[in-house]
Amino acid sequence: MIKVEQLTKTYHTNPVLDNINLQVPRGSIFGLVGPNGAGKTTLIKLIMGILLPDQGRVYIDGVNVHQNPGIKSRVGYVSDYQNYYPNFRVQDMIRLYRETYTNWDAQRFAELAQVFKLPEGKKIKHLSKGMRAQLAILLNLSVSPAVLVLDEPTSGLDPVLRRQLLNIFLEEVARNETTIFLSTHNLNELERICDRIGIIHNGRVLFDESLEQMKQQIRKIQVAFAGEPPEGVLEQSTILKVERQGRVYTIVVRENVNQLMAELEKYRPLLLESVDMSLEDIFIYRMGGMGYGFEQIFTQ
Amino acid sequence: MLCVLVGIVQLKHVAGGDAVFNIDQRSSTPIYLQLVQVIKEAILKGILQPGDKLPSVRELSVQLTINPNTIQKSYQELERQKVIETLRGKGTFVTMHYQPSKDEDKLNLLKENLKNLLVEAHYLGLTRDTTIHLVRQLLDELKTREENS
Amino acid sequence: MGLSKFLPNKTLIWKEWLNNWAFFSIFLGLVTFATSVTLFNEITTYLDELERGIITGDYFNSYAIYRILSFSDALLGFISVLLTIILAALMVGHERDHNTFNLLLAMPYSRRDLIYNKFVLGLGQVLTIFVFNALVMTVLVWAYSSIPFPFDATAIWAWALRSIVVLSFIFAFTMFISSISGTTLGNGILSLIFLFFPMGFPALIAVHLDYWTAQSAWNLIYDSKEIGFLLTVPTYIMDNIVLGHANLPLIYGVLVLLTGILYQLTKYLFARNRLENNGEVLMFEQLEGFFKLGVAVCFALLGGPLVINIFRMQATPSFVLISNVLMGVIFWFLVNWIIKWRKVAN
Repeated sequence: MIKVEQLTKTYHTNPVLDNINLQVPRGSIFGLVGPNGAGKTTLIKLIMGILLPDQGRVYIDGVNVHQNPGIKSRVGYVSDYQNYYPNFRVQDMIRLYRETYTNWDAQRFAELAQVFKLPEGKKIKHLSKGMRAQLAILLNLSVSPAVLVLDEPTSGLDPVLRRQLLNIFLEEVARNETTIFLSTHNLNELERICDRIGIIHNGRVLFDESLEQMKQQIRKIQVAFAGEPPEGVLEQSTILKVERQGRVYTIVVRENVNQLMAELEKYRPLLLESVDMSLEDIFIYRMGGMGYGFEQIFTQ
Repeated sequence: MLCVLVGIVQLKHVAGGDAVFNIDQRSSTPIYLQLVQVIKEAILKGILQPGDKLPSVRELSVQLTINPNTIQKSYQELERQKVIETLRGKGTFVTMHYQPSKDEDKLNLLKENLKNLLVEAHYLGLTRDTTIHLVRQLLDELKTREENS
Repeated sequence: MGLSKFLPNKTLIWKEWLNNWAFFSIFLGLVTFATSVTLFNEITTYLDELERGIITGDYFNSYAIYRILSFSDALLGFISVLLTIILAALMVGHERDHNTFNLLLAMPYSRRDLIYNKFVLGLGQVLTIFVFNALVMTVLVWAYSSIPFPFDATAIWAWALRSIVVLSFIFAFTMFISSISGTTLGNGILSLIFLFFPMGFPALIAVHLDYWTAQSAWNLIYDSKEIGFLLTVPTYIMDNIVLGHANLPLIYGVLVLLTGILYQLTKYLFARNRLENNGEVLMFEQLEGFFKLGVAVCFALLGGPLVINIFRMQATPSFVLISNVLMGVIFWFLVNWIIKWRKVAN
């Protein structure tokens, strides 16, 4: 379990994180989404105790990380670029992890080593980015982690490898009830992987809820009437946006979708149907409702 | 059994087939409900039969790259609907006496599509009688085709 | 808690060793070459010349080794100081340059663990280098006891102790600077500047006093030079000004105490280090003002002597003054620019 309380961090007087609160229950996967430079890595480094917060606390399984670094013997950490000693050989890194973590699982390591087939005699500086990521995942899964903190663990890897790694993470959750905190700027696969997600922007985590909830709350409806649309119906407060093309109105509605559908039905529309929305669209509307102009997040 | 199920999901995924049976993250239907539909469909088609064992949450999670908690939720939903049952220590099975009830969602969708077609027919200038005649004709045609095969 | 806290962590020591064994070998090699190997060469030369009748039995000219053992070999002393500074600067700088503190701090290690084990290995290596050579030389002196050496084993061990105590202080001081500065080069250069500062600063002032007031301030200059040397610890193994006629146990005691205090300071500062500032000149923004002012003042003082030395008689007072101000202003902006540049580079 990860619990973050009132976390605040400033870089050279620029606020980077502003009073972050979140909680990731045991055995669940939390996805942190946001553009590059939004503070994802900073938040993760604070959770890992690499950086010191200006204010606030981080708890892992109820233990304050910054006061008791020993708790990290149950925490695996994979960053998007592995900061390993360039002159170490792969076998040296393995030894460093094996001796550092008291819960090193030799059997799990042997299992995963079979999958990844890393050249143990090679130096870290001669490994490709993908190999480095695999080594990091191999090492951090072998420490019997109760919590995995993953900072863009699959960015820049080819789709086959990415899928393989995601599967390994999922298996970890299914097998050992591992808690995963994952950051990404890639929305694909997010819903498949995460129980809950949060979007980080301007130093705040904007919401923290399941995609399922979000998907059901925001819907797009297409409706067409023979004559003019009935007065007032399309001006309700739950309607975020109305677009008109000829007779067809495309409506984005937040909350009480079925109620609106039923109401529209009464006016005998020529066409009334619910249309799928992309995750990007959902995020944009969901946040637009909070008074943010967010289109730029996903159009990088 | 696992292979079959995964096969269905993946095949449909690739073919981009019927949206209801596809695990499609762009769909407004939550993934766990999509999975419920996939499994019900498999039973309906006889790919899964009463008494068959379903893959474990862990297996299915890895095969489909879907969060195990989501799979768990689908299984719970299916259990609630008495489509499947879990025998402690043995696994999850399709209920022996499962009778597929008429799928309301599907029926609604069908109605919806039919309505749209009827609206179109109206604008083409087809009269009520011509439309009914046309439907009869098509139903007969389907019937003969079924008998031949 | 308790004593187990002071046990070195085997893994951290091993990791440190894997990173610095090559440099340690160079350090060990150079000191060994300058001491044990030199002594052995002297001995063989002496025996050879004795055999060939060039010299008689009571003459032994091991001048080089005698110099080393009697405080007055400036070169070996300076090299040892420099290598110790590099040893410590690399220990922290290497981690900063490769961002490996991110790796270590994500592991179940506290910031204290990291600093403590670096101290243990670094001081251990300094100890090893000098104890090893003292041992070898003691054995040589004992093995060739027929030779009338101008020194005995006690002098050898006094030399080893002096080197270890002084270099430990230098190591701790560089570690302390490394907890403030963000790059390997910064660690090394700043340590070097501050270590020699007590000697250099009075010297700069002295040149100025000498220029402006001629003879009248001579006594003041002379006294400040003495104090400067006393405060410049590296000179202790480069010269015999301080140790030659001083109360050794007191000075060693003070140095050991200072080493301990510097360790505590390093630990304290590293625990508050903002690692996101890695790669910048200074890890603590609060120090920037002081740092910039210090550099500007020092280089302003350097401006005058530079002009006096280069232009000799043509250096008029106004010329000297202008060069003071000019150097101060130039370096004020230069330091400002470097600090900003490192920040942007980050």
